[in-house]
Amino acid sequence: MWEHQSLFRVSAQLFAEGIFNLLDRSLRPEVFLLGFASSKEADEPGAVIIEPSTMRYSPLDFKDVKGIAATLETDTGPQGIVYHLHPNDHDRTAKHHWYELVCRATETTLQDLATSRNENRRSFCAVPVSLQGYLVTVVLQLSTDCYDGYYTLPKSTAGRPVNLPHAA
Amino acid sequence: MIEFLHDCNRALREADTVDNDQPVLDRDYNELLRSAGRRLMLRVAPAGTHGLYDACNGVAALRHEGDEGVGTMLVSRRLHPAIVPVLTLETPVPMRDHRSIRKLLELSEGHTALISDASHVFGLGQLVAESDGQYEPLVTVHFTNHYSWEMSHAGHVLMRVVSNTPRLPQGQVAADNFARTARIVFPSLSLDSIDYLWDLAHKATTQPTGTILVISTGAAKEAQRLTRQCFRVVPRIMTPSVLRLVTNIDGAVLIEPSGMCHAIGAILDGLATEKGDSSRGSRYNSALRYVNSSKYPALAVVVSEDGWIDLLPS
Repeated sequence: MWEHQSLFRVSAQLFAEGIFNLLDRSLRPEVFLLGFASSKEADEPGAVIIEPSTMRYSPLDFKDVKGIAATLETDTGPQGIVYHLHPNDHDRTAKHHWYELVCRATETTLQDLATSRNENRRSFCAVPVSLQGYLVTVVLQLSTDCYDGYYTLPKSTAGRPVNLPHAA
Repeated sequence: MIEFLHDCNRALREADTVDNDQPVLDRDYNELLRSAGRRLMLRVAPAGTHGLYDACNGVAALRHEGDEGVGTMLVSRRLHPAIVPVLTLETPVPMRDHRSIRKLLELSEGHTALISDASHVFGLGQLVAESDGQYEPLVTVHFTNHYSWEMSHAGHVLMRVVSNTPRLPQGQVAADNFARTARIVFPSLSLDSIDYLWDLAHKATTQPTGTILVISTGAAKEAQRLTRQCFRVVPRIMTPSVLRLVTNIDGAVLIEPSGMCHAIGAILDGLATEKGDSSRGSRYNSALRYVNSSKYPALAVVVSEDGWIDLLPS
């Protein structure tokens, strides 16, 4: 995707270990990057890049992410018909909305993968960033047992933390 | 998670625009945790009032007539039906007036706490009993000692802040995690036995000076083998109250999966293993060595003096 992607991934892994080990060593954070090529069809080679390439997931596991995101888009409710007065604002909002859908679709895919493989991992994805022709998502995985062992605040809404590991 | 992913995204955007020599993800870990703490306090503040995290720190940092700030504050919207007012201030005190809040904190005692909506303190009040129809779990800030406080909800501590550094409440081995590991190590153990062992393990985790509880099918033979390195006891069923006493001394307590105790104060042996962690203490590493090289299926609950609690094999 870009020249320093391995360096970035390693930095993010060390950063995650530094933070989450201060909270609980059993959280066992793992960071990897997913890149979705903007100009390639889902089944073309190189359409999905995983950094590191030695990761236990294969690019084929994520070939349906954009499709899932597109189905989520049809289910957006009233937000889908909001128009902004300025075309640039509208474009920006629409783009951000699409990125959020890709993020949700990636999380769902990873969760399904973890369930089917009996992995004790809970995945969180960052909203993708458009970088050199790829939508790059940072994925953080934590130990499900440990993460779910902490009390969470009720009435949770998207984007609001339910406990300290979630906020960190 | 939210703060970490935000930082990663910021760094990713910079990777596209800024010279690559720029350092990325160089934020101090504790600084990020402070931001997470602020975010969490913002979440619990009624009407999303900013500044509760810093106000709590400001109050906790002050002393009143030389004493540490110890007291409780309930955080809820004004005139919450679950709070019985005891004393109401004519003029509410703003939360940013740390000195006044610190002074008022002296009034809180037992169930009577300061009442705040995260922007002002209104007076003193009590949360109604759980059996009351109006009851609703509320966020409580408990000032524990100098520059230390913790935030809890419905009796569960969510965050402990010491010297402006947020941490999770001391990790406890979760019951289901313990049960799962126990079933793997001792497949023939009944659910009742696992529950009983969990009661013992849970008691061990409350030992403030640290301890090791070893559950092994060969506890009797191991006690015999380690005769010179332990106090063998006449076999008896270990109870949580006795466990609290015997863990006051150094060394491990050896019990069978049935709960039968054979030795206390046992100094464990074992071969060095690649799973060893030099950043952890001797208690953790010796338990790890023992569990890994034991001839018998064994499970150890290690409570370190510095607060770590581990279940081995993990």
